[in-house]
Amino acid sequence: MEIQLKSFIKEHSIVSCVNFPVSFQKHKNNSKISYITNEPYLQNIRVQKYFEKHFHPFSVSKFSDACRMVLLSPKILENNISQLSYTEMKKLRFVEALLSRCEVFVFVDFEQGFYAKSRSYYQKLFLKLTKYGKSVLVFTKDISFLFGMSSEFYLWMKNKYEVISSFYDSRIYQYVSKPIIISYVESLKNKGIHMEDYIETKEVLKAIYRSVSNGERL
Amino acid sequence: MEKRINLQNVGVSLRSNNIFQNITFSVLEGQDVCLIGLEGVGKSLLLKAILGNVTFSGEIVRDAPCRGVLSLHKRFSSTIMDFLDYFTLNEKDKLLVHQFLKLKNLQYSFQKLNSFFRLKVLILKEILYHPKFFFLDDIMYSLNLEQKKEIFDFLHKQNITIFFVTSNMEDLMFFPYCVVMGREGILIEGKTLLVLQEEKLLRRLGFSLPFYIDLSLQLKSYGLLESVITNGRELTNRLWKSN
Repeated sequence: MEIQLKSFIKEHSIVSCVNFPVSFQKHKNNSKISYITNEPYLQNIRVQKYFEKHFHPFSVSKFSDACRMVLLSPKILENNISQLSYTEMKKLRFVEALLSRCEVFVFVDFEQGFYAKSRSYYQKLFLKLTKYGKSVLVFTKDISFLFGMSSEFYLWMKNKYEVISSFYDSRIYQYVSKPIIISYVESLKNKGIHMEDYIETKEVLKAIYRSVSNGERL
Repeated sequence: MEKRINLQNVGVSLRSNNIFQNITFSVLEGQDVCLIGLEGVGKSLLLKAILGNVTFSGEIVRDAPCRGVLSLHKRFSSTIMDFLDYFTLNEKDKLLVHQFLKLKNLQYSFQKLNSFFRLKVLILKEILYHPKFFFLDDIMYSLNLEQKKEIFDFLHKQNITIFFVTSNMEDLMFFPYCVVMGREGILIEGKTLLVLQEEKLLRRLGFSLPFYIDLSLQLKSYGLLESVITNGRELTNRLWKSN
């Protein structure tokens, strides 16, 4: 099936794509699109050298601003680019994208390696990018990264894609891992406990409180 | 005698930059350990130090053979069989390969394997050295719970102690002991359930809690539970059957 990355880009919006094949994500032939991937840097040079080579003129102050925006210390300029940690490397790819003044940011499994606080920060940052007129495409296999960010997303199913509008759609979990909160809420529903399609622990807590206080039984 | 790995004031510097220092802890044979840590703190580098792949300061004592898988990225253009040097293996190891991979055909191209099978093959390659301690970096992110369980169960059957690094807090529930790493040393370590009850500290550091722990702690604070529950079935029974 021949599909184009461009057909998924929606102006000034975040579009999420789940379980898409790597080969599809790698159409890197447009300078207006920046890819933030997990690919390591292979050059054995200092970060500053790398940026001086790729950005003319290279401005340390703009670099520092971009670093702060993605939660990276600007001191990283002194480090060797091939010796960065996994998360530093991804943040630096994000900095590169910001400095390139691209129109579209494509994040590929970006959330991997980040803990809750950072994940939530980046979700807000993606939204901020759209407010600045940018488009954001998020490719992920971790459905929980979309909680609170996208209520609708594309799901790749073997050789076609579908638009999915509920995290409780069983088709999703034939392809990607099911978040524990979804499994638990489903198990309660199956036992006859009244539950909505919650995606936050706080909401499940309230529903349990209501159910137990009302004397609901299994 | 019980085998162990001892780290005493271990530090790693790259180009005179201190990545981390003063890391001190032990891994005892039979006690699986899960390591979490601040982002960019050098968790992967610590694994490389333990496996002897980077130079470090301080002392690391390894009483028993250690192996590990630190990355899924491995360029190998041939088949699984070639990758594992299958024909050089003894019968016992060949059986191990089949038991773990559960593939009829070992002529599949290594490059074409999905992440689950790729990880299994990479693990097998190292297991064939018969280590006592096995190190896994944060490479299970695309696996579901059953797949992770299958891998851990297999390693346990081989009497291997697992040291696992993760950024997925749910993974902690597989491990009885956990260590939280900072740049200046270990921030907290101990039985996983006790460490996870240090809720304020963990949240301040940017971690979330595993779902059942988080829910249990909150239900406890509302007086609906007396203790922390780690699985859904028990949680449901306690909450509704005791009504």
